[in-house]
Amino acid sequence: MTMGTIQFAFLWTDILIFILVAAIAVFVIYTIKHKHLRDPWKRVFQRRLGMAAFLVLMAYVCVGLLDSVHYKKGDNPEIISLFDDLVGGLRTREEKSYSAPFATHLFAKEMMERADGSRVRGYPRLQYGGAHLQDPHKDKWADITQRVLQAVLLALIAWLLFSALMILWLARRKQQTWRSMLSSVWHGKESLPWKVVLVTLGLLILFMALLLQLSTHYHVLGTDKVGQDVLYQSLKSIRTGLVIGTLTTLFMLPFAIALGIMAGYFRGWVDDVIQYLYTTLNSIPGVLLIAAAVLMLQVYMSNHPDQFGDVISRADARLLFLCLILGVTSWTGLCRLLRGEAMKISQVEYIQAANAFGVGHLRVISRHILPNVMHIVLIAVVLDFSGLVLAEAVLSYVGVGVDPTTNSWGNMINSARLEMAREPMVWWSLIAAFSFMFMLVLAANLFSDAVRDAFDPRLQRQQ
Amino acid sequence: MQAPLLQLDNLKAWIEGGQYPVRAVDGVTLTINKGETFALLGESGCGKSMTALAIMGLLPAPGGRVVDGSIQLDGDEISTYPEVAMREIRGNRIAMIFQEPMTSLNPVLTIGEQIGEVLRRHKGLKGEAERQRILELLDEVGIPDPPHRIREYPHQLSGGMKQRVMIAIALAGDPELLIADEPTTALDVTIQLQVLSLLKKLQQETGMAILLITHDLGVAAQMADRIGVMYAGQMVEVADRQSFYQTPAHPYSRKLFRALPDMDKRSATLDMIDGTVPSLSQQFIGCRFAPRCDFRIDSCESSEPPWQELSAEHGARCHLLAQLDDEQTELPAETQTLANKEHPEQVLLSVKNLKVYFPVQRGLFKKTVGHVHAVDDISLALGKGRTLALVGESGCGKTTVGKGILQLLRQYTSGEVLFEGQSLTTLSGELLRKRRSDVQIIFQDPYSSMNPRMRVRDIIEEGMLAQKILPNVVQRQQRVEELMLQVGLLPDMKDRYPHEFSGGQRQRICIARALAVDPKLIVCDEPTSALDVSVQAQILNLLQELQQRLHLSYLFITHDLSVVAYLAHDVAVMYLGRIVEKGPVEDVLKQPRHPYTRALLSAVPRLDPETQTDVIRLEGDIPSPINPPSGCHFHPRCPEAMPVCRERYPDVSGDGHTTRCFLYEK
Repeated sequence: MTMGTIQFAFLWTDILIFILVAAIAVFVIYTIKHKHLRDPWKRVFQRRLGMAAFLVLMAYVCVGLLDSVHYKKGDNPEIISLFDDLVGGLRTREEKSYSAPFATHLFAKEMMERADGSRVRGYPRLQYGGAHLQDPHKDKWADITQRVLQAVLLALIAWLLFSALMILWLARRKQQTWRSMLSSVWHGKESLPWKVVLVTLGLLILFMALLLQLSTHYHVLGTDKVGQDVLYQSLKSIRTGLVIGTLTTLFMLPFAIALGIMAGYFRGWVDDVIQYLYTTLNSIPGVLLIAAAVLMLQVYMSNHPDQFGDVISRADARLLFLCLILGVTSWTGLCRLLRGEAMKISQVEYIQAANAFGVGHLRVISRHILPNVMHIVLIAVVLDFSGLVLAEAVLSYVGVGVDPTTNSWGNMINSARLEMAREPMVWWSLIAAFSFMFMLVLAANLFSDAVRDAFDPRLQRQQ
Repeated sequence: MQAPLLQLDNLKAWIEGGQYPVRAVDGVTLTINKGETFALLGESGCGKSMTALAIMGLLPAPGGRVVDGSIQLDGDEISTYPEVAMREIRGNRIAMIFQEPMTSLNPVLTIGEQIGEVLRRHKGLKGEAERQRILELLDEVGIPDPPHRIREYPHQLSGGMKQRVMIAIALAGDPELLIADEPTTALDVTIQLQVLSLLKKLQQETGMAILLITHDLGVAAQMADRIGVMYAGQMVEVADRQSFYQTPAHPYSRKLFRALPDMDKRSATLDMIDGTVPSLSQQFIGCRFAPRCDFRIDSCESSEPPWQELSAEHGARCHLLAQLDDEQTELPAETQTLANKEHPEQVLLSVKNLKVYFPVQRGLFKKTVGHVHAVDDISLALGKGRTLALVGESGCGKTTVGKGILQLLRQYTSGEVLFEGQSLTTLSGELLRKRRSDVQIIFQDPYSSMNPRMRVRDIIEEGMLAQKILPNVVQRQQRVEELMLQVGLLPDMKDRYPHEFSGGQRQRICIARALAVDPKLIVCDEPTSALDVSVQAQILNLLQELQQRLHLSYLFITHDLSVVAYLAHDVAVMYLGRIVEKGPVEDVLKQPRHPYTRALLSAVPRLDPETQTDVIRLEGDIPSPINPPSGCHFHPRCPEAMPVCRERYPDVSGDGHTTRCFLYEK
């Protein structure tokens, strides 16, 4: 890896993602300082499933963030991300066409030229997958087993090292000996489920070690039609999924919060107008609206190519626009919830006391109503996230989703439509997209369950 | 002597699950004989309801269980019964009615179905026999027109009617024991009287025993044969009614009596019990009441007092029973008389022809089809440094008057509100905002009147910020601390959140918040009705003291006539949006004129039942303010209604002590 001059390139979604990260950081610091905000979060992390789901989500977020730092390197005009740089060969090791996971030969027969010049029809060796093996048929599984064992050993060492550091840190913080700390972590006597943290991280480390050991010499999840590594595609798709899941909410929240609270607080004609707006919007099928908007954008883009620079910025603009349009169509549900809640709160006596003091509307809304509906917003955002990740897949499948050049699970599934019809079937693209999406959505759903349990005041009272 | 119906012996019911178990019931021993009424008295959080739930086998799950002791119903040990066997007992041999009739009935079933459910389950009645029995039961509990009502849903009935239905459901199984958990706390006094006399009548007819749980000494005096006082999960005194009301033994019981406000204690501070009921999630060493007791000696804190019998029917749990019976009982009389100077009458607030009509809207285009006449043409005046009490049953519009004066319902209000000669109703914008600091409000519910996400300092500061009083942060913080001291809170509590305070402390914070903007008038909307007697005394004393010191005027909205008697200078009695009687407090309470005032006063349960003569029992409920009755609104319930009452509303008669009734019109 030669380090040339690095010229950072900021895509629109990158900027928004980092703004979002900064906002979350501020929120986290603010939360830690306030006890009444900290307590429910503590309850989230006290739940074992909540903690495990959070760690898995964090693993995804790490990949997504690494993939959001874009730059040009040296004279290479191509914009790459930090993630691309880190995985190195995974991106560049392209085969000719389809190959199955761990394959050493192409998936389809081709005409090959032998050393003696004669032409034979057969399965050619892959350029990279298992290229180090002398006799793939004999050595492959022995080689894989050896690498797996190496990975497990590596993971075990890393895990033990990490566990030891964590126990020592905890022991120092709580002023205990590491032995007593170890036993209280092991028996789950700490307030947070550290054992779950260790197990989850252990699994994540093992997973990473396996990929590190295997993906350098094999295509772990096979290759696609143009010979690109499916594992690489799936990993790149993480960023798309996260962007859709988070930025959409970012666009949606201002609408939902402002309009919902205004409708519930001011009532009268304000309420009528807002209700009319979201009832109308709700009556139009969402997919139709999205399809119309995306198609319009496509036409605009092809008519004004000069405004959208290179391919990657173009794809990025489309991704951003998709978030925007998804946000515009999905604020109604939360808005309705907030309207009802604001209506209820505005009748509560502390609001009347504020009115009796002559406190202004803006201050009443920001000091009294907003903090008291934040738990609903939070629950809605976390619950919506997984829905939006799935929505992206559906929309891309229909063809109105992200740009075809963008890596996304939706696009992978879309291309799998043809692959599944082949004989013999090419199944790995679909399975890879499915597994990655499944893990993300499952983790998000489990986490949102934990969040809801911790924040919903009705559930708390039952405890 | 016959065997007791119910016998609890050293019953301990704990709720486990938290860090420490909550010892809600911690060694309660009591007996209830057949046909007897036993009243369980005490403040909230003393384990009264938990005792009842333990008897019913309905302790909150998970975590609630009977740890020790026995519950014997007619000789059967029911605390060890499995759930299946308990179901045979519940509703059949023991029935229960709850405090909140609104939430104890299922809103989607007719009342007939809900009564029938019990009959089918426990009596095996079906079809016509079941229907006949339902009609009988409804008739027994005094619901008019049972064949019609049997098909109605709970929301079609008033609160008093719902409580009658609950009683009918309880009676359906012909129980030997009826547990009534605060059966009238949510009801108005006139309705309370109806329900209590119904319970008495039914008891005489069926011979069932009643375990009455209440915090109201008056209600217990009316109903009970024997009384048990609970404190912090323990029984501290058991006595027959007579000895309890004449010679209460335990210091706690005595304090309860002395903390009650009434006319005779005017112009003196109420004897209050400092502090609150201790948390039950701890292990007690000494006497549980010791930290709040005036008589405590060293042994109170080191050893748990034993149960001592004073007579066959009277026992208490105190180290000092013997000594206390001497002259010490009236000690320590720290009742300093507050100089109640009469100020030259200077009118601060005067309300003329205030009307608040809420439109009733129906249909697609929200057409206004009628109005709720919440406040209908009210005039009143309030002098500087004085207290005007606005009395009436729920739904009569007294809270709306308060909000109308505060200009919180401007769009629905007409009439004139003059404050220091300036009309508030015509002010708007910045001028009105400035004026708002003069009139403040304290609410009933200390839980919903503060934003749970704000710290105490922010809550108290809010008014100062809005009114731009003291723009300097340091000065403002100083003022917050001053205010907290003034209402009896420690300044270092200012960074806490409301949920960390008890009900009484919260009410103090609300008072501090109101005082922050230096108001001249405070509208007190039932500020003590959500509090226990001992805490109520603390708050009333604080209000008294602040009035003396800061020369405040109070518009005191309440339904509790004993508080009125204690605190108010003038009284206005409201019925269905109008003031029916108004005058100085002694005149109105001692020589009430309007039939409604008389009925209201006679319905208040007295501590000494012998003095309760000629109770005027009002039938029915307050009519709807959408369609008030023609003529005098009170005539359908009035025992002295005349033909003219049906025709027009009477004018104001009298001078100083005024009435709106034809009986006094000349």
